[in-house]
Amino acid sequence: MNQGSILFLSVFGAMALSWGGFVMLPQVQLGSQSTRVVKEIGRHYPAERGGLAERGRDIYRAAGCVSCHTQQVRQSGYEFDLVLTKAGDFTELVTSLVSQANTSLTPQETAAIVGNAPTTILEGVGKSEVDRVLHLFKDSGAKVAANIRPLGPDIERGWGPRQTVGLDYLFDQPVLLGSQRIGPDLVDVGSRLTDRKWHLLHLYHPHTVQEGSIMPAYPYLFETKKILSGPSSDALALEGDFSPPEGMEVVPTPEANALVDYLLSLRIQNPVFEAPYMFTQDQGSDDNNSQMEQPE
Amino acid sequence: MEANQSSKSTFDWTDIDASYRFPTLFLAGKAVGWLLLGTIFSLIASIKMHAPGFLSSCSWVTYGTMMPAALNAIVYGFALQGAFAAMLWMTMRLGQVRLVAPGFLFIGTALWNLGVLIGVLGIMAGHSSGHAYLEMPGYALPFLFAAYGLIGGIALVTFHKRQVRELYPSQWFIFAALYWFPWIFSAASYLLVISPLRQVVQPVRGVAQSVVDAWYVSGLNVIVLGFAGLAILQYLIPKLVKRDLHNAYLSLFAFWMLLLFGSFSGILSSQALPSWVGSLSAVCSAFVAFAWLVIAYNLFVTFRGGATKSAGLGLRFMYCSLGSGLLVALLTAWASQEATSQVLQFSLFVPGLKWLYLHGFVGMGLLGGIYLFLPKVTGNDWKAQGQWTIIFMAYATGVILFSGALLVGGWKHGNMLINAENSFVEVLRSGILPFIRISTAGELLIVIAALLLWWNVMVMVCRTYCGCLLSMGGCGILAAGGSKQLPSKTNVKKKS
Ligand code: HEC
Repeated sequence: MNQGSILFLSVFGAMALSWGGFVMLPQVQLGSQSTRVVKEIGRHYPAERGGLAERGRDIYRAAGCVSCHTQQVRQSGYEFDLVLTKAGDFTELVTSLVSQANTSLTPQETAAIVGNAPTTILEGVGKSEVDRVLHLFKDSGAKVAANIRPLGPDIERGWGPRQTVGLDYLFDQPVLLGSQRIGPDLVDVGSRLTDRKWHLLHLYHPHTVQEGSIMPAYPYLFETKKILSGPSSDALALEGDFSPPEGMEVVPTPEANALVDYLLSLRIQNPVFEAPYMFTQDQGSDDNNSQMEQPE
Repeated sequence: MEANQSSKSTFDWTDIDASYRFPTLFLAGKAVGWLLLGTIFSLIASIKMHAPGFLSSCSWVTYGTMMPAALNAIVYGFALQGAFAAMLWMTMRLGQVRLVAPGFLFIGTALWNLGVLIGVLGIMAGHSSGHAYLEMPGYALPFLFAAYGLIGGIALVTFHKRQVRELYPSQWFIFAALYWFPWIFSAASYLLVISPLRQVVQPVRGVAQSVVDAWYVSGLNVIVLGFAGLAILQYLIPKLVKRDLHNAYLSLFAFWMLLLFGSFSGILSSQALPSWVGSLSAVCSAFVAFAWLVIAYNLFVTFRGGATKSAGLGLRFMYCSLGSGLLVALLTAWASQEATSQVLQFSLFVPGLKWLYLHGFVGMGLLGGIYLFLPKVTGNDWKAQGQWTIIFMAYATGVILFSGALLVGGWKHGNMLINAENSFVEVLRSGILPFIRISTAGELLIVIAALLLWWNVMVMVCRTYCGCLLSMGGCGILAAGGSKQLPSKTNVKKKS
């Protein structure tokens, strides 16, 4: 065989290998993912975004927001809070168990914990500690739950309650994970910044709400027009340098509204199997703690 | 393998070089034009970081469209087009063969540039696909495919017709790059850009898109652009120091390592992706770095034993290119490690590496190539040697400032990001802005270098066209595709 054919075959082989390993395999692994019911929120997750938010994603893509904003939250590990959810009938036994579980408690504190259940016994402990305590309380009649708390700087910053997983992006076309954080992560921005007016002002010019921002202004998403019979209900409340000339007002275009709809739809406030966390329903009934019971 | 080091033979190159004269001027001229345009775009984007209101009333020139437009102009317009030009030239030189079908090469080049133009305008119009390095909208792709069909086809036929059958290492690299590109380009753009448009087949869902995109970016960088650049280095450095490549087998070893591991390197682990992606990529990056060390060693030994100790401008371009490429490979391997990737992942470090690779490695290699090739191909010397020194100095300083600031800043930016006590505004103020300022200054220098380069190449183009028109006395030359007018000397050694 001459050198040319060897070369051809070897390059072809390497190519086939690379294609199979790095393109086909992930497809097989990820291609069959589908939505599933998340019991904490009682519905299928993820859901497709509504029409306007879908349109908004197009504007997000077109304006290239992805070059400064990621949409992925990292997590470096877990911690657990151990909560006595039900003290049961054997108060004395449970009291001694609680003091064994957390030896730094004074007798009064222990009594208060047992008396006022649900109460927290231990905060921020690791997996082995959880196993030890759960084992202690076995057959005591009391119930102890281990609440999972994801850790990591992104979560501390409030960029999301948990890490993002592949499932979160199931309906995104294209997926806009982003690779640079010139600006904050946006995957959960819809539950962090819920005010539509704030978003509109921020898009019109970031300095209206955030001094020293380097995010570009997007005035082309807005229209400056004459006030006719009276100010429009959706006109931006602009002040100082930003206020439009006398007799004029700045109103968002449908594109701006769609983009904000999209931003508000960015939420990952629900635990998933791959990334569980202690989930609290903030609206609704009183006894709202649906905890992740540690499976025995 | 070293036998066909062309410098040794007393072979007459006029005919071969002449067959390539006008195509190369066309390719190189367009390439430097895109370099200029791309760097101007990226300068505009950079200025926007300092003044949010700068040119903000037009959706075409916002940061988020300027950045991908700049990247695509530089990758497809400059880097790939320049790489095609250099690879074709080396194929002809090493194979001692005339370019086949120069007329079709003209058409291919024209189509390619049309495709890139449509693509870049499409990005600016807001039709970007949103996938890194594949931002060009679907309607630009048919032009690029057709163009590559012609350019790549001509290169492969020329390669096939070579008179010297034995292969020099550079030819391995060239062949692999030419062959790899259409595969990954068509596969990735079909899966990511075209199929979602047509809705016929099930589009790639969810994060699998990111994996495909990462595979494409790695293949394009390490294998296509990387191999083109390495072919130039391994061809030109031995020539410039007048010595054979130290050891061709080392080079082939590196070739294999890069071929096997190059298509999945440099992907920093993301928790949104399956966890094996990051770990596998860390391994691949380490192998790529090792291959680069082997190549750098091989070239270093070649240089040390060489006759020319005083570095000319061409050699200086080559060393900058080699140094940047090696640095990028080592830094990528380092950044892919679990611990460092947690810090560097979303920081300025990532664009720092990207630009160091594109400007430092590919750009330096191509500029050096243009500096050395064009006078040979056209038979005209550069009029203004002094300007070339300025180009080199400005480009080198620009690249160091531009990507250096991002790399160093990335370390700070990343470390501030992973400490939640720094509020984001603080991160912005002391982890991002100061470094962006320096990098903008660097970009300004790069624009100056690109402008001077473009001017010099244009002068060369005009002189060559005029010279040819005068001496041949007719414009039929241009119409004929710039090749047939040459007296068809049959002095190509027939030694098949
Ligand atoms: C040049 C980079 C850049 C681009 C492009 C960019 N942003 Fe930003 N963004 C920032 C920076 C920096 C901040 C933080 C300062 C601030 O709040 O303005 C930010 C903040 C934000 C915030 C507030 C997040 C928070 O937690 O405070 C939102 C929402 C946002 N951007 C949306 C967008 C949208 C939508 C786009 C595209 C139309 C976009 N950004 C494009 C840099 C950018």
